[in-house]
Amino acid sequence: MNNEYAKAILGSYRSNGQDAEDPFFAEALRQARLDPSLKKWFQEEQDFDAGIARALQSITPPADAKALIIATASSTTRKRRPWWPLALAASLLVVASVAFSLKSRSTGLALPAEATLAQLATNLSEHHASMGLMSSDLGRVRQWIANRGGPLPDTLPPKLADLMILGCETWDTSRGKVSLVCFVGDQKQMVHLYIFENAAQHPGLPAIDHPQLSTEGNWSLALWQNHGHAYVLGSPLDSDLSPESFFQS
Amino acid sequence: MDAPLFQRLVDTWYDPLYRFALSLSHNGDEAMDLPQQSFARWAEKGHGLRDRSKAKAWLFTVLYREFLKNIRHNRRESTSSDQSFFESIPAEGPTAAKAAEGQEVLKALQKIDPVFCAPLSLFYLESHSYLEIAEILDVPIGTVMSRISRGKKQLRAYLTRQSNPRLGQVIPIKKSSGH
Repeated sequence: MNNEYAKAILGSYRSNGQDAEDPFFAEALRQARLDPSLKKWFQEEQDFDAGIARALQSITPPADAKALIIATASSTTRKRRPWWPLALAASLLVVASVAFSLKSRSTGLALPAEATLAQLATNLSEHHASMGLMSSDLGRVRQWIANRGGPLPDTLPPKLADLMILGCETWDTSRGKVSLVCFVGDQKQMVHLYIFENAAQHPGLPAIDHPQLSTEGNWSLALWQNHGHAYVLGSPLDSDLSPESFFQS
Repeated sequence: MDAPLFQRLVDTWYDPLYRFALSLSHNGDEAMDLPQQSFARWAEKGHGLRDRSKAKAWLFTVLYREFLKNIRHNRRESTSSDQSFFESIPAEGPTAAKAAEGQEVLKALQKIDPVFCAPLSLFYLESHSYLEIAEILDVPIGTVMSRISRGKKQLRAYLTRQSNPRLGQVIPIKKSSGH
């Protein structure tokens, strides 16, 4: 093995010593011990590599990133199920999707025409769970929604801003545009804020400082209107983060 | 999903994945998104991986492919980097020198030929052997070694120029007077 070939091999030898037992490097390492010029080159190369590696590892990711990922995964993944219901569901889905695509071509996501605001929110939560953007940055979330023409959240309940944001979604529906902003509590409790673009479709909604509290299915809800948008804040009934708690000073 | 395993993977590999994403994309937002996408994919499909020792390579491979997909979708240009983000990158510990080194290396990785960036970043993360790098990038071992070697040369040349800006510049010779 000449020195040029040894250099080509040793160039891929990590400076933290993790490759010390790899037989691929053995012959080149032996030669570097015996040949003074190769030894000098290798030492300089290792010093350079160690410096770059150290510098790269000094970069620290955002502090809340790991918590965000773990919270998101635990709230969106489901247990695995036997295969046969999935196969049955898949075949039904083909039929349903054809029907859906025909129906939704002009209106977007089809929502029940007579459903109340509370029913619309729980319908979206239970049947159309998705997150177009995962981010804890409210600025990014607002920008993402704005880029898609979705209704933007304006004034939020006082304590809701204390929660970490998980991400957001928007839909074009048969009842108008809807946005969702997902929040997560310290114990991974999910809280969903739906914003419907047209509050006039839902007459009688109170202002934000006196929200209407109710339950719908498995959800506790707070409903209000502000600046022409209708809002629904929801959390699971068994959650210790009730929507009401975000309005208490 | 195996929640304890997932937590372990995030704890162990998030930081290197983020650094890899940042060195590839040179963009803070994308560097946040890419590891998230990798772990989201794991949460969805990771149970299909029987050999759990391959989880690390699996996560890095997914991240790299997502990055390539983003390039294709966005038709990004090399000028799209987020310089202000580089300037705000925090460093471990209190020393500003460390932060400056990290920024300098990221900038240097941005300056070298893009084809060398991924293998070189993985090499300097020091979590991957040359074999694993070849697997993640889906290129032959010889190509990995060649790209690491040539990438290092460009990196060294750039850093040398930065530490001594006059290197490589044409310095005008003063005209002699009186003749």
